[in-house]
Amino acid sequence: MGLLIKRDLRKRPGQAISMLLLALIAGVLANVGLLLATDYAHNLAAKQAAWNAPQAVVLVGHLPGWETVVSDLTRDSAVRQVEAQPGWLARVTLAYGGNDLSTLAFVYDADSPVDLGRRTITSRTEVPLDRPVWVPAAFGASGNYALGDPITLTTATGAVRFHIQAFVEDTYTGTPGFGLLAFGLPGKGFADFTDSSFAPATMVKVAAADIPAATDAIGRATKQSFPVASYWDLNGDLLTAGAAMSAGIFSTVLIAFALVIVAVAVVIMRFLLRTALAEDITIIGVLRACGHTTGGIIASLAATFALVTVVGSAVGVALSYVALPTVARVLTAQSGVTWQVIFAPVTMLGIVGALTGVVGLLAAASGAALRRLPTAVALRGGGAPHTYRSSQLPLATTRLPLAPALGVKAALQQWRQSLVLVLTIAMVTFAAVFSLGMTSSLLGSPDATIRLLVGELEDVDVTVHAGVDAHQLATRLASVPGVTTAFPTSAAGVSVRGTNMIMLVTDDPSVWRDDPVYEGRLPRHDNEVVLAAPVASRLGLRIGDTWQGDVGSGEVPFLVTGLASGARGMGQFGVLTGAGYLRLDAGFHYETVALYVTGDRDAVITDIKSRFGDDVTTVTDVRASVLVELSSYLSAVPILGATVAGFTVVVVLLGVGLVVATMVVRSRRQFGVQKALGFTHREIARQVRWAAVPSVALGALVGAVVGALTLAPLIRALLSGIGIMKVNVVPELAQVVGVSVAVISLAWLVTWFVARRLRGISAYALVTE
Amino acid sequence: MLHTAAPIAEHHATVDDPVIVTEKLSKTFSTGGTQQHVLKNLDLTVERGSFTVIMGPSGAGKSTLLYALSGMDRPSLGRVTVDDVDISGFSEDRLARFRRDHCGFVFQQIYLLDALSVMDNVMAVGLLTSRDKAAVRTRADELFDLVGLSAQDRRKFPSMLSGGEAQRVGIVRGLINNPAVLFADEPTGQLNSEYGRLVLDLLSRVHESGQTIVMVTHDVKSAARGERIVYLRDGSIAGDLDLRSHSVDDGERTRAAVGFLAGLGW
Ligand SMILES: Nc1ncnc2c1ncn2[C@@H]1O[C@H](COP(=O)(O)OP(=O)(O)OP(=O)(O)O)[C@@H](O)[C@H]1O
Ligand SMILES: [Mg+2]
Repeated sequence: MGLLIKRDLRKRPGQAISMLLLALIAGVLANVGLLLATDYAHNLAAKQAAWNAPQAVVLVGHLPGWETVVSDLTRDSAVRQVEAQPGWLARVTLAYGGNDLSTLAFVYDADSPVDLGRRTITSRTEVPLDRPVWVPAAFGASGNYALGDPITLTTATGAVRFHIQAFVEDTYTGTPGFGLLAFGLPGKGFADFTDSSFAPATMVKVAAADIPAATDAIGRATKQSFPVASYWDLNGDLLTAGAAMSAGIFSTVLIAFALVIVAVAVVIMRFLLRTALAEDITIIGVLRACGHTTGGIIASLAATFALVTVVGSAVGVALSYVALPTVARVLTAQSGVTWQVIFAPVTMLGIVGALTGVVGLLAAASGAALRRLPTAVALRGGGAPHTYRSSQLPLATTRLPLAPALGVKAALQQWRQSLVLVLTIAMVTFAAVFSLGMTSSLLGSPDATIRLLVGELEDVDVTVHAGVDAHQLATRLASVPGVTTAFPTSAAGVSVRGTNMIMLVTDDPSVWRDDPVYEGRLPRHDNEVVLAAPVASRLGLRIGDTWQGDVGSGEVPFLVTGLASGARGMGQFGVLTGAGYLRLDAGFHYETVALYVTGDRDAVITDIKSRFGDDVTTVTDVRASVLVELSSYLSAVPILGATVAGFTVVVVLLGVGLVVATMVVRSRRQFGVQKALGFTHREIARQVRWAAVPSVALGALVGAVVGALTLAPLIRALLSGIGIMKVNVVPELAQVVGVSVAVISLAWLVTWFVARRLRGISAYALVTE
Repeated sequence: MLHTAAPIAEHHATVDDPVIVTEKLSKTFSTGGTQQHVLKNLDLTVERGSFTVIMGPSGAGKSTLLYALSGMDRPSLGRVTVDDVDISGFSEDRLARFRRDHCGFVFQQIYLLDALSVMDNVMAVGLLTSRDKAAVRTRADELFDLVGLSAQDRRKFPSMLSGGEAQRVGIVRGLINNPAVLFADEPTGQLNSEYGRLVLDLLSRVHESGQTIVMVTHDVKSAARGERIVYLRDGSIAGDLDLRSHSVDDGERTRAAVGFLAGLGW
């Protein structure tokens, strides 16, 4: 049997190498995908446990009576542990990854001991620094910062400058996309810190049985004793969801593509097995005549293929560990939590085992047919290849020229082979169209990206000074050159049954450029609300239902008029009219004016700052800030696109190459006869192309059409986890056609290359054989 | 007068009108460092309309000669001229085009294309030289009628044919392009005697209608169908017999052939 395996490998080196490559690719993709789906999520949970991570965090401003929040929480029986950490809070702007990021900054004492929500230092410098600061690890991973670098926090009144002494990570203050970043001041730094823009605040961390218990407790504490809700709440649940989200998209696409590859590999392997058996049928007959059992013969063939699969997939899994650090870096930048890739032998064994099992099963299935074949028939070559019965496209009547006609006839007659081509090409074309479409729809243009991921977003935010009427200011701002629309707006954090959401408030949401509602309509009256899809589904609400809003002064009913799409607050948001919000909070007034701007946003911002300096505190380029927040998510997309595109090319090469090469080898004798009869090399090569390329074209067409049709639904499925339901991704015709043309051209090239082997077939060799 | 004279003049012209002329034709194979001279300085002329039989012991170079004459292979030295065109220096592609235009082949192993129906086997070759499908089809049907293959047989696939039927398809295929010369390398070698005779009868009839034929055979009876026997030994012509003066009907040719071959140590 070992002898047979050796012979099989020697006889078919091309096929063995192709199988090896397919198994290798499947191994790489499956391992990366599976580790993301399992180990990465596990890593987050493990770190939360190791750091004694709080289930919820609330930032409390030092308004009169704020201390009762802490004491109430401490007394709450549902709460396991409470820890209050004093600090300073301000809205700041800072440079991050080449852009300006607008965020809340919480400054804390890096030396004060922490038990709940411990932080880990991932790296630090011992070089003495002027005003040292500890910053989230994400700053190193994606913010373009290094140890020792200066970092400037620009506030409404000035700027604070530090130098980075350490990168730290925790589960709740290190994600740039989350709106709050924490800065630790070591040594005397915290005691000496003063800045007029920073207000004293306390971060209250709450540990409870689970997240709802913790957020419920916070809701009780802030409602009863702290009437004005001036806090910023972070929900650990959402953080984890957010961090896992992009890993989820990543792993979903990788696993999906690994499955496509496995499917392609299965189709090709099946084909190879059948070919191998068909070629060996006489030898099998001889062996059987000599007394070998069919089982033993099949087992040897299956063992050959299984051996190749074991080696290929094991090497693939091993190679994936070369790619994983890059993936880990991208994910660390997104979550702020370092992911140390560990070697997972169980996953490896699982992948290798599963792939080998599939191949083994295939071999057994192919062998079963062989078992029924009588030895005498096997000895005569099985008779199988010669049982042509019907003649499609008779040459006497077909309109095709000779070489195309002969090629197409061959393709029709060897329909199994053609089917392999169609399926292979359809699957990879689909994968390529989808990944390209996803890449371009997520990255195509900043505006498109924001519209898809965030939804409605103004260009510039102007925060008004206390005492200034936002409506009046909006009217005046509307007359600034470059400003097309100005309206008061608010994005307030509200607590509903212990869970927090962002409430987008504006007098008339119909002025928005982008309607985020994907079902129903925006609110028009003060008793109407629109909820983001995840909020609605969490609360079990549908259009027409009543939502009980509550920001601390009692429940107020609102009619749900629509469901919104968008990733604001990780999909935890709602929309109210200004009058509607007043019913929730009688003391509400707008503090921000939203601007739509044409042309140069920076010029408009400078203009407003100089003209309205007395009435406004900050003027923020919202789009730029949001793009910074999104950048860490988006950075994963091109990697994904490139990976999928690369594997597509390899699979097209392998699939087409194998099928065509097999066809050439099988038809060697026929081509020799044709040459003897006066066919030129070029005519036969043309015939071979016509036998393969129509199937490739059909596959490309099917794959492209399916890819184009499913692009939007699939992206919607991927993004629905963070509340994005309204996916207006329109596949670009040029792109779809481009991919198809590229696949067909590539296939044509492969065919051309393989057909060069035909030169080696001589008419003369045939007649003297 | 001119009208009646013309055919006679033509007839005379065909008598010594060469189709194939070789000059010092040599073929050498080198295998593993050693050189094997398979054809040595052969001078041979095949006349138009003749039926030439090549005989000789196994390994004498009969097939090699046949395929050098038909442009299947290039001579190592010397020249092969067909219809006054020197094909010795042709490229592979030019040789292929030359073969389709001037040569028909009937192989011992028949070599029909398994994937094509009987009709398509013939059409595929016919369409190499003509774009007129209807005309090729008509010619194919005439030839099928000639060899006695029914319309039903023409729709069959090679695997469904008996050896004799298959070789008849082979003959139709060899003739479809009206070749200057029909080459046959042991066309009856794989057939039983009955089918063999049938195929030889066909070749004779084709020859009678004016077709030039060059045939390799081991069989004296087959050889007696020809007009000339060229005997090859060790790559050289050891004997050349004109049989035209002997009558076919009373077995005189066969006796002449046997005598000729006996003299050569057959
Ligand atoms: N391509 C080749 N390479 C090397 N040697 C060759 C090649 N073709 C033929 N020969 C050798 O040339 C010699 C003549 O071969 P050829 O096939 O012409 O003989 P033949 O007379 O047709 O014999 P047979 O009656 O057995 O068919 C043989 O010794 C053969 O081995
Ligand atoms: Mg021979």
